Amino acid sequence: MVRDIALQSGNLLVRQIGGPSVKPYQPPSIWEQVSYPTSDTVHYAQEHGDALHRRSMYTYVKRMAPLPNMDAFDAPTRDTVCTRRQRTDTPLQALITMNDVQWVEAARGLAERVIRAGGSQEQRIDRMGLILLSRVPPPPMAAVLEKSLSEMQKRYAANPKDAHALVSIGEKKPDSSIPEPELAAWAMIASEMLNLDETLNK
Amino acid sequence: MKQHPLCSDCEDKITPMDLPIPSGLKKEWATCESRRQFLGRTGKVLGWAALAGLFGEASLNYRALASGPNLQAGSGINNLGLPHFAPKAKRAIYLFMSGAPPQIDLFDYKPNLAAQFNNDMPASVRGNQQLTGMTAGQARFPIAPAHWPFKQYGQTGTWISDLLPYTARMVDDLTFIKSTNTDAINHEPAIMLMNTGNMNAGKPCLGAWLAYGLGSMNDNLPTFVVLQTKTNPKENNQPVSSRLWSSGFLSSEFAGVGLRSVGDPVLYLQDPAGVDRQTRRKMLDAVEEINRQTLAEVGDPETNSRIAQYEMAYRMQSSVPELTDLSKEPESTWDLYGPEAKEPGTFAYNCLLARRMAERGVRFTQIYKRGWDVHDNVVGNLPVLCGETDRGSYALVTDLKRRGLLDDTLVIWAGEFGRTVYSQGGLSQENYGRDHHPRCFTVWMAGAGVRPGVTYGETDEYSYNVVKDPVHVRDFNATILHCLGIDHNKFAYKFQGLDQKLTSPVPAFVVQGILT
Repeated sequence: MVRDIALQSGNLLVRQIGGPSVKPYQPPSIWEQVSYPTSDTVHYAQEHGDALHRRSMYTYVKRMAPLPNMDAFDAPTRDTVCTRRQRTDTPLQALITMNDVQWVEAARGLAERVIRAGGSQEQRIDRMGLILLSRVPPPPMAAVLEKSLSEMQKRYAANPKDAHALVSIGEKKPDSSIPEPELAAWAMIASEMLNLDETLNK
Repeated sequence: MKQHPLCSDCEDKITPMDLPIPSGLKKEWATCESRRQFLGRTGKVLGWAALAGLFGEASLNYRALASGPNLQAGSGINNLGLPHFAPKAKRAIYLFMSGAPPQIDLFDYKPNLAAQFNNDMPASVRGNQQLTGMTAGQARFPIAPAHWPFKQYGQTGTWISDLLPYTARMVDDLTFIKSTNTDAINHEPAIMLMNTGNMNAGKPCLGAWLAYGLGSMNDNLPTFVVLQTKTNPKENNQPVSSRLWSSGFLSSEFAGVGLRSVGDPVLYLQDPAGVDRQTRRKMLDAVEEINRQTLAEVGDPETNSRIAQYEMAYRMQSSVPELTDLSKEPESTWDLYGPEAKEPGTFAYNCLLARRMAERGVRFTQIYKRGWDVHDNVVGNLPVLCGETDRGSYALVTDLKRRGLLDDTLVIWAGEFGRTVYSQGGLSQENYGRDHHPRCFTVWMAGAGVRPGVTYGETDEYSYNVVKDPVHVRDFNATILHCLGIDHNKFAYKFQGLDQKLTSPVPAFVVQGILT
């Protein structure tokens, strides 16, 4: 769910129903560490294109080595039936929603989405709030985001290389009509909003 | 006239607490009653605000429990009532030899077997023991004596195989149990039983119980860490998986955090390209400020927990690289652990990391070494396996001792079962194989809580049956808990209507004979 929300908000979600399971982004050597050498799933071959952005229920599951970015969110192990999902909160989850390519790419997608929709800075932040929180951010929240935005804009205007590196993460190409420093700054704001308790928990 | 005991107007004032009901249930009722009393006292003036405050506090307490035990001021005892008594060990390091090392070739010295080379193992010794499908069909069960000579070491004169020259140097520091036995004869159920006390997946493992019961001793690293040793593709590597360090029905924050042997030790630890530390800090400051607004607005303690976990994530981004940065280790470290310890993912490297984590207050570290499943070519495989693990184990115990850490650290070395005295497949003067054997295997412990230089339990002359002081896996786990100040009988968690324990449901006994 959390992953699907990130994909959907970043305009990445592929709405195709059914079909074979897919292999999205996964860090290296997850399968190799646990597999029996003669297993037919020793090596993980990541797929490309739409496979990266299907709903999480279509992700290929190897029970010995569940996808780490879903495992950390207590995805059932599928060894036994699961009548109720656990709800936990760990630092590993925070690392995923901040640093996993899946989320960084989604944050950039969300930034592109609100920039393309146009309008003032305030309107863009409002739109992000509507997409993720189903409400316009109240003034104190908006104030924090606006202050953060101006800091990020300053940082990425001064470091275009960093901006380029950040917006190039993920296999989906960035929107070249948006200046990279501007897109990078907004991508950080989108990442902030994707990491809010109100986004993840409510 | 007596009225119904539960009637509030009853003159005899019999309360439910006077009824002959289990005390546990009464305890649960007591909390309900205090709430009822509270509502009764304040009933007329109780507004929604007070009610919200009441439930807020209740859920806050629940949350505090769920996120690990809190120390009650000054007592040294946390709100789970732990430790039950003064612990000898504050932390433990578990060297898990996955695949099952052959006790006969390493520790369980049987000099009389040499004369019985290739004799059939007497049927009376085997008794009713069921065999695995791998040897059940064998026409013969020819005795395969250990290929390597044994010698006596230390003041204790402990017999150790020539395969373990480093372990041999520290026998006086070790406590051997030669009579460990298990219920399972195949890897997955046996390794689950060793780790979780149950052959079926889904129960919390030892480390999760300790994290839940004793909590954290540091702010920058996880409470329970799992290290996997890089596999040697030439060995018969049985799979291990996160089921073994699962928190089962306990909250998953108590599950082991696996540091990986290849690449980033913690996944997703590095900030994405183009995000430096200062930018991450600023981003997190903004997130925290908004989360605090949410907390003030909604009052959900989960929000508080999220703020704390994001801070932990940020700290781990620097504490984990610091942990794995070995550049400041003195030359004496490499003299002790050997040059192999410089290579991430080796057993020696993991042993060194375990010592560094012990120094930094990690409660429980478990190192997995796969490959001990020597069904064939024991003579070829065993020297390699021992070469990979012998020096690291010795270095770890010795290093902890030198630094004074062994005084409050328990080190455990164990596999999931033993191996057969008879050869699996062909037996020759040059080579043999050994099948799984649940009836006896040797483990060792060292450090806080256990008496050094002790050998406990005995097997028969075939190292097949226990003849003295059997130690079941449950007893073994009860003993580990005891060293950490926990009475295994009292350490329970209510789940599915049962008081679930690491050692339940069959009674388990602490091995008193090895305790200090």
